[in-house]
Amino acid sequence: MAGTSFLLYQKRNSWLERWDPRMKIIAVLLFGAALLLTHSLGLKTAQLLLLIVLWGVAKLSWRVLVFTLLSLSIFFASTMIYQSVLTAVPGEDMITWGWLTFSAQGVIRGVMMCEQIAGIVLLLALLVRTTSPIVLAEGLEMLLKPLKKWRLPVHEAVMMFSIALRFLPILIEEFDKIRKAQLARGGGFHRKGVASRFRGVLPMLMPLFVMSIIRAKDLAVAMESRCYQGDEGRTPIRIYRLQRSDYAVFSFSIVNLAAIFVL
Amino acid sequence: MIDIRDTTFYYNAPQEDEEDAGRRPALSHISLNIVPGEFVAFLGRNGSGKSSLSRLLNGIELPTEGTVSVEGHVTSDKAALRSVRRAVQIVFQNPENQQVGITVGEDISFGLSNIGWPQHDIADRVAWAIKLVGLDADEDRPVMNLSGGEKQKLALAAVLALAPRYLILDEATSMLDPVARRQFVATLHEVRKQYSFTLIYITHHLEEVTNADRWVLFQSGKVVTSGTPDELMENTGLLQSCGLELPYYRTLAGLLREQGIPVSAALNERELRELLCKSG
Repeated sequence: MAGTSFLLYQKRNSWLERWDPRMKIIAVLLFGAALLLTHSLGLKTAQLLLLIVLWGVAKLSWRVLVFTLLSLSIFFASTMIYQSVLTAVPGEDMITWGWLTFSAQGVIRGVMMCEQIAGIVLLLALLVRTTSPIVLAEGLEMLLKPLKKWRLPVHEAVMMFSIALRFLPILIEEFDKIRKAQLARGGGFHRKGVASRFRGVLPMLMPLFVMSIIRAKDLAVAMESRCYQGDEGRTPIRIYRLQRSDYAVFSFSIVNLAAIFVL
Repeated sequence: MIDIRDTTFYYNAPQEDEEDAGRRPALSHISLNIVPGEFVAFLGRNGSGKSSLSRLLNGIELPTEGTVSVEGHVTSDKAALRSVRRAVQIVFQNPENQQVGITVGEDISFGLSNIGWPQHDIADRVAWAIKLVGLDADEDRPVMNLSGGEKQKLALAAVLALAPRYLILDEATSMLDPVARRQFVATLHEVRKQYSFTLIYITHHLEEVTNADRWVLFQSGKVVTSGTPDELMENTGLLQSCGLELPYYRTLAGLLREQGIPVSAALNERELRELLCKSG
């Protein structure tokens, strides 16, 4: 289980864990919007650095941070090539390095785009890794409560989301078991050649799909037998009250968003 | 009391205008009463109808014919379903497929929240349930970090927190290793000393239910017979036809008797140990 445990929330008693889930979700949305709307390299870099500082404050593993960023390397590389080589506009400062010619402005655009991708991924990783899925679901449900007036199944959607998060590591483990079982029988994804590898994926995905259906069915029965009938008659497990720190986080998120229009 | 009257159940009931060919009911004309405080064991092969009946008792499935009522509430009455489910709780076979929460506390709280347990008392109730089953974990411990036996203890704690009057264990030990299985059974009996409930135990392992008040034998969706463990252990042929094996000490007693050694047919594990010690 150690191989997949980093995917999920683990209690670390950090400052970020104590934030109210509603405010955390709002802060993530505002910070995400600021990241997307900023056109200043300096501000975007500052926002990314702030997220890295928050990663440390949340007592999350630096190894996981590096792994998360490395897993995006293919996106970073393709973004840089696209922005600096393929979409270079005449009139931009062109730099020739050996056989490669690229645009200086394109490099800046690429770096900003990469920071944007890394920022969004880190922001979501921070949210998921510092908030228990049940707390996150409760926060989402409280924020989306007004939609219930239009009979939208808010509770059910949020419950599905939290269960999906709960079962993600189990499914990854199961996929690994199936992969090893297929390998032991001479099949699987290890063979040379793209076509052979592609053909090897289906026998791994089908059992996983079937197992997921069985698990979902069993879980639905277990939930029903424990008196689950949607949100009808449920007691909230926790009562949430906004603290000063939550207002501070909200204020900072607003200032951060406003800064992009001012600077 | 649980009252099952002439109950037949199909997972996919044939339509009135449809031929019944190839469709066998999961349960066929079952009538059974389970009285409060009783320890009943449902025994039989896989597919004999034991688990299907347990699902009917909790209202997860509804009978195709006949009625199932729990303390006067008929399970097919939608208005009474929550009362039925509060009264009858089930611990299923696979612990991983019945846990909703990420942490021990969240998982136990899930059921409490569903039944509208007072919010201010949920944390105390969670702590009570953890202590009751002797789970060596605090409420913040991630469920993923528990062993198989601990996960099943958590499942037990999560249902006992709801204060059920009837507890069904549906092959709850079948995915555990022998040590974890023994520990789970010991925990269960310890819990029953502190907190009284009617126990319906579904298993293939007869040694886990030798102290039951009654065994009910299932075969092909029908109740073959019921009686005390001592009565039914006499009938080895019937047990074998239901796919059951006698505990090793009863088999050994039979073999010793065949050799002309005077051993009681109702020999239990302790008596066998004493006998062997004396003979040594």
